[in-house]
Amino acid sequence: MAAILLIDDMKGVRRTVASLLKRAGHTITEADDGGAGMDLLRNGRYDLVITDMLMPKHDGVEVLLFLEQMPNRPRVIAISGGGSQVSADEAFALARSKADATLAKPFDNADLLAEVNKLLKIDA
Amino acid sequence: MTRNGSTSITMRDPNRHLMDERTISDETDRLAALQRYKILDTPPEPAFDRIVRLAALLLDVPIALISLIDADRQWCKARYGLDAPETPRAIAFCDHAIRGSSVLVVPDAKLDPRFCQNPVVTGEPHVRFYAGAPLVTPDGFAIGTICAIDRAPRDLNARDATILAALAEQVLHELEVRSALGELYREVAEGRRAKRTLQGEGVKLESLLNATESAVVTTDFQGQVASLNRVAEVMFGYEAGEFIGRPIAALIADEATENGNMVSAQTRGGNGQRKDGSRFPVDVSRASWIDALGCQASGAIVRDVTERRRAEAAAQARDKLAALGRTAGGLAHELNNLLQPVIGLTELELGQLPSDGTEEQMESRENLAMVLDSGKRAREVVRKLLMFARKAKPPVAPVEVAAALGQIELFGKEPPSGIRVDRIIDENAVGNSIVNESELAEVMRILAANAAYAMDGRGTVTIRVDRVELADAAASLGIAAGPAFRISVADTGCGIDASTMTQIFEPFFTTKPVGQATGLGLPVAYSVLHDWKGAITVESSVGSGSTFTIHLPIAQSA
Repeated sequence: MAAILLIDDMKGVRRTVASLLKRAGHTITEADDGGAGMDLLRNGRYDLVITDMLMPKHDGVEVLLFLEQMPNRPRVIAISGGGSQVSADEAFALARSKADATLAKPFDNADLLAEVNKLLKIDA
Repeated sequence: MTRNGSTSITMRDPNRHLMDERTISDETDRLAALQRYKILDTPPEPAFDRIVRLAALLLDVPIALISLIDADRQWCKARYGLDAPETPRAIAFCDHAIRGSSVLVVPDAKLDPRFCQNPVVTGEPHVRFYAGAPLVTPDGFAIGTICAIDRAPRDLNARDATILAALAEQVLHELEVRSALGELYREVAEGRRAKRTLQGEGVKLESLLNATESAVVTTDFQGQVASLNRVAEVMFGYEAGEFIGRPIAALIADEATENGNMVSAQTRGGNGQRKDGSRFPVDVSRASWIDALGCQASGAIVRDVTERRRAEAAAQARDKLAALGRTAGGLAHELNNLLQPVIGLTELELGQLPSDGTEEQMESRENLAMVLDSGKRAREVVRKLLMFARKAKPPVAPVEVAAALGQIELFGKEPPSGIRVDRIIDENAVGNSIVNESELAEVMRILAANAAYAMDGRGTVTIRVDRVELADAAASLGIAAGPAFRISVADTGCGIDASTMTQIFEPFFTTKPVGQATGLGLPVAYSVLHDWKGAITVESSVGSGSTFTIHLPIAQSA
């Protein structure tokens, strides 16, 4: 159905999101850091990017700014669990203006699926 | 001229031997006469001060002195217009004056070879005119002078000379009286002065004591109040003088009072008790002394520290919250990421299991449902923790509180059966508060859930909303004076006992069984309202129910 790039440093989160979306019929490519995610974006085509906001090396802010520069950029959902220095709200402050949707971890499967379907214009 | 000078002449000139022997002998007798008056180095006395003041006024001079000539110095018993109490005899004009029997007049010291090089002429106080009448004792010794001094040259007329001579007699008269009365004179004079000083000190002390914001209480040896300042009477709620003679222990309960040890160098904390029985925190500093009757007396300076304690407690709560905020932020990030697979994967696996499979499959379903439920509860704890810590502050906006409260679903769609909800919204409760509407709804749901729990599923929750004007009462709530919404949530439940009451706003304190509560409901309500410059208070009586009251400032429309 759709090619989705998933960027998150937490393995458990990647597995959860990937399992859910694979079962919904999508192709998932995983990256454990913003840098790896941006490399994949340079070399491949994706319909949707799901990126964590707070990652150790290259964070979600960089990914969002990179996507902004891309012609015909894929749609993007920002996800965040908040952090030690910033709340989820603060992490989302930038995400709200640059991403197409935001979700606070831990979100329900149904909420993620709804956002994905909305952005990919899939009727549930 | 000094005695040493006389001696050296005697040794050099044998022909003058007899005369100088007599001079020395006369001087010794003169000094003995002076000593008899026991006047040297005594403090100022009004009788003599009056005389020099009179001399200055009557002779119209800036300086007048009663000077006594000691062995090698001139010492002034009374001074008018001059600071120095004594000068070396060698430069004393008066040493010349005592050698004659009449008034010595120096019209212009600068023109007088005896004095023109004198440092008191060439320098301060720039003496030009001098008139000194010797003080001659009844046995014929000139022990000093009363003199008038001017900084400009002038003459002394006959009338002035008579006045000065008369004043000299008056000085001697005073010296004689003083000498005759001996100790008695000193005691009378000192007694009179002490009384005057004491009156002055008393007035000064009373003014000072009434100027301080501290209560000052003195007690006698039995610990009964001997005096208290006005601040003390106001602080403890007594009329002026009402508490005199009553035990200080009825005012101040602290360690020192209880041990009967009224003296303590340190300032100690304790409790003050007002006339109406109410208590308030105080700091007490004590001192003790031996009173006029030789008895141990003591005093206490008492400060009402209610405001300070309140501020300290508030600062402590803020620090605690800030520390919790830092911890909660880091904790939340980890937990939120760890909970994602717990919730997401469990839900996913749950969906894979057939809804009517084997017994084992059904059991797996139940197990996974339990994991999912636990994960969601954990998510709720983290969310409430962040809300309590105000780590994330959702945006606030003007909200018509009364209208919003009329619509909030307190228990989801429907209240639990057995729970009735009454909403009484006063028609005057209009206006906006600057809040976040969904957080306000959450606060109300927290209070409603607690009410339902307290009533064990059976009873009435009454929500009342009205508008009040907070005046000074606002201080005790810790919020600003002005218009406010008063929102109360009353239940008909079991009530809250006193020991629980002190902890209900503490995070993770709960009376509900483990697993049924986050222990963060009321702390969240408290924290959110504090953030909105509002307040939440509680009244309760065991057996008849509790009422939580929220005050929210009404935004003044521009």
